[in-house]
Amino acid sequence: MDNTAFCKTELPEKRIVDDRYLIFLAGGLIFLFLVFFMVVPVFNILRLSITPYIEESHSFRKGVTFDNFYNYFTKPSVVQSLYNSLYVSVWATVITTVLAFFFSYGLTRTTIKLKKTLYYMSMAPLIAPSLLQAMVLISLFGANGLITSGILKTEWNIYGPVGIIISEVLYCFPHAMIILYTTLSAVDSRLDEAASSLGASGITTFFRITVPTARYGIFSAAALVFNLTITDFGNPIIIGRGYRVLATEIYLQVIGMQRFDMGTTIAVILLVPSVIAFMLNYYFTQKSNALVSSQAKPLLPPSRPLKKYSFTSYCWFIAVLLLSVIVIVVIKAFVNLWMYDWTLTMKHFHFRIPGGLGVLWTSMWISVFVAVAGASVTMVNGYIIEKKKPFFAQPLYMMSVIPAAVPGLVMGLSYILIFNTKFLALDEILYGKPALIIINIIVCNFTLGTLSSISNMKNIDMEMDEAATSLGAGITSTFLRVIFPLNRVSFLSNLIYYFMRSMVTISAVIFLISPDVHLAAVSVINLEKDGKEGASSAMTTLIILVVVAVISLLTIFLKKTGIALEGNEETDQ
Amino acid sequence: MKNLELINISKIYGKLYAVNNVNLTVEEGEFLTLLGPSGCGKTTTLRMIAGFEYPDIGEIKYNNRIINNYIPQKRNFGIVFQSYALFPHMKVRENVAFGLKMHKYPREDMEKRIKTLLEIVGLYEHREKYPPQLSGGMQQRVALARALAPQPELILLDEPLSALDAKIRVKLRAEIKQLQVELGITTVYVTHDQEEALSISDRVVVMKHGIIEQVDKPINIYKKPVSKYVADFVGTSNFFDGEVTDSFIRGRDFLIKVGHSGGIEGKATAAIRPEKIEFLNNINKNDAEETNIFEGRITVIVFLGLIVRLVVRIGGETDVIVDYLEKRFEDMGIKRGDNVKLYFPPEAFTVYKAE
Repeated sequence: MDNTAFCKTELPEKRIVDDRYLIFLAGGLIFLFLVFFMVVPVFNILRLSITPYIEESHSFRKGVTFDNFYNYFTKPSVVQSLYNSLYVSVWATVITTVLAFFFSYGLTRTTIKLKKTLYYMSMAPLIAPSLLQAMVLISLFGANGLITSGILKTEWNIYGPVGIIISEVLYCFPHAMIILYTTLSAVDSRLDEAASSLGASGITTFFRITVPTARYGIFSAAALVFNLTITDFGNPIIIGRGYRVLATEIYLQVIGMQRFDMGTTIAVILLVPSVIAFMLNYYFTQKSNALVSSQAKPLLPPSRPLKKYSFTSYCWFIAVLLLSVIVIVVIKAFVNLWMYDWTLTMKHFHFRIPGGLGVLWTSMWISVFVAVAGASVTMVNGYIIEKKKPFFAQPLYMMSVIPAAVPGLVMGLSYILIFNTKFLALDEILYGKPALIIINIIVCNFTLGTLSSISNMKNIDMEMDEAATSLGAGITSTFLRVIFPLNRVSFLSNLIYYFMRSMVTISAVIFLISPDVHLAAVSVINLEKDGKEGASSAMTTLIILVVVAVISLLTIFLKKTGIALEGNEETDQ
Repeated sequence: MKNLELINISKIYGKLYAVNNVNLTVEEGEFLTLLGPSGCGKTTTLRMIAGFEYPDIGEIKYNNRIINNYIPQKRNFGIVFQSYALFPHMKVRENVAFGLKMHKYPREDMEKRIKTLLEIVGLYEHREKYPPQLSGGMQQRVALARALAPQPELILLDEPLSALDAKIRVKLRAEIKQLQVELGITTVYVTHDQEEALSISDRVVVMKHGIIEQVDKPINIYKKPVSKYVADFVGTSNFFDGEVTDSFIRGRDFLIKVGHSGGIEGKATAAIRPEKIEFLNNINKNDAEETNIFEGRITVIVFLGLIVRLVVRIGGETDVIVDYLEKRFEDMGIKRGDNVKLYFPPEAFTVYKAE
């Protein structure tokens, strides 16, 4: 043996910063960021909802009052919006959950073909702003709809509650489907086999075993759909017409009538069902995760022909429906005048709006900022919470989970109410600036980013971290050279998630756009409301194109850089 | 001498003493093993030496300096983990290089050192592979090379072999021992496998509920266990509970002469190793103490390769384990159900005060 190799050469002395201070610093900064951009604005809105308001000067004055709530609940036309919101949300929740459950069942428990294709087709609504569904429903079933007035020649049209419910079902479907798909893949399907072997019929097994074992997933999906529906702004503002819901009411009161008192009050009222739905969703998700069985899944036996054909047709029907919504918008973007003149044209792409095509660029660079910053911060956050566990890990976790409970619309409203005041002189830097929009989108989507980061950190053995430390790596080297590379897949998926949300979100930013900053998704609403359906479709098409392009690029990049972590094992000799 | 000293070390979780007032000195170049069942505090002790846990009470000294507050990077102790903890996204070569880079090792020497280490563990030709492409045994060798690369003063191994197959385990532990002797590096090893501990260590520390039960050379741990706990945990023992008077132990249905009771009187336990028990036919009957002859029936015979393990039922309800060399056993022509006379030599007993 070469003994010289082990002669102790003096290693250079290294300056080492104690890890704990950096963790305290980074975790503390994230904590303060959330306090500042979530807790303070939301508490401010709660405060303003019980502050007297002077209608003439559109300003709040000092004091405490419950007049605002009194005013809300005594105006029948306004209070109707609460009832309407609950009505459409309950219907949308029930329909979406049932449809998505059977769809997920088809993808997980039957042997239909092309499951992956169906899965991705059903994701289509995620890549477009949440008013796409309403736009398409109107062009098919509106007053001048292709089907209602063009084919059936009927007076009936889809505006109002029916339109909202259908468009919300189409919009929320993938959200519910992802949860139910995960649940149904996780629950041990051998339970079904055990039941059938004990003599239970297919229907009995389904209702006595399959549904009960997936119940937490079902409840969790339902709570999420309810939350998404009741807080959605895009679809109801387009297709609701006279039918007012809480989210649109806030907007109309604030933008249309400068009634900030009403706006804040309704925002607080909207917070209640939204927070409850969020808490239920969180509770059931935890319950559902506890049921996940890590055992190997047995192969599915071939489904009987009747089952196979019915699920094949059902799943394809849904998937085609969801995808056709996008196809129709793309067609609308390229035809001269929907229903009347089908000649192809590019004229809708010459946008006559403030900012022109530039709004798309603004949206894109803002989204790039949001994606990079959001994915990085949530990853560091997950690392601190899951792996480093400083003394404030629990409060930091709570803070990171709360944003999902606050509707984007409420968060946006809370931002303009606090950052247009002389609050710490921040109005100079933030008000009406892209920075505020970027921060808002990061905060609104903080929960999912952090939770997915935490669950990925859980998969990394703590010893990995300690191994790096024992070899002399400080916290930054450990993070950059070990933790980050091991998390790159989840980092990229968070990057995609943030980019996508940032490109399509409307409710979070509707209050934050200013004469200086216009966003693509918001301009779709304005174009649509102005009756420029071709242009709004063209803008939607561009948003979809950008999102799809970025997702494809990042996915290819991931595949190219991905190294085989599962190799052929050598055997011990 | 660069000794590692643990002085009155305690680690407390809530009200539980995970490690309770441990005093221990590891001498330079020594191979010391912490042995005990899970929850005995051995891993916590190791992690305190590594710097991943801070002792609540006591001092850890290395080379006469108190290192309690040194963060792990500053201690320069190499660690081999149970899960190997190899970085899956780095090649074997890069894994070994990692510690060198972190220590700003001169670049021109780096390649040479990586080569030396990988040759020592016999994996130089696998240097361009990723860890998941290697077998468990190979991965653990890489982990060893990686830990040794930055020239640690001390190497800590936390159950490094427990995830491996039995055969590889035996092979690799011999390799680890050989390497340790050649390098003369101070080593602290943690395991719950008593056979592993006895075969690899210079000294073994047997722990129980955070307390050190015994520290001694392997042979003394086996031959002179200081407590019933150690006698039970290390190797196999037959225990007889009873009252001790004048070098006799009296139980419900037996009276046995024990060679030396160590001054213990009253409630006690006498222990005898299975291999110390003889068949009466094989010894000189004149030397046998009358009280220590027992007749029993063989209820179980298990072949363990070198030895045969018998369970003999004596006095109706007491089962005694007897180990016998296989090659001598064959000649005796005994089978299950046979009645045999056993002799328990008095000097083979160790007596412990009842707990």
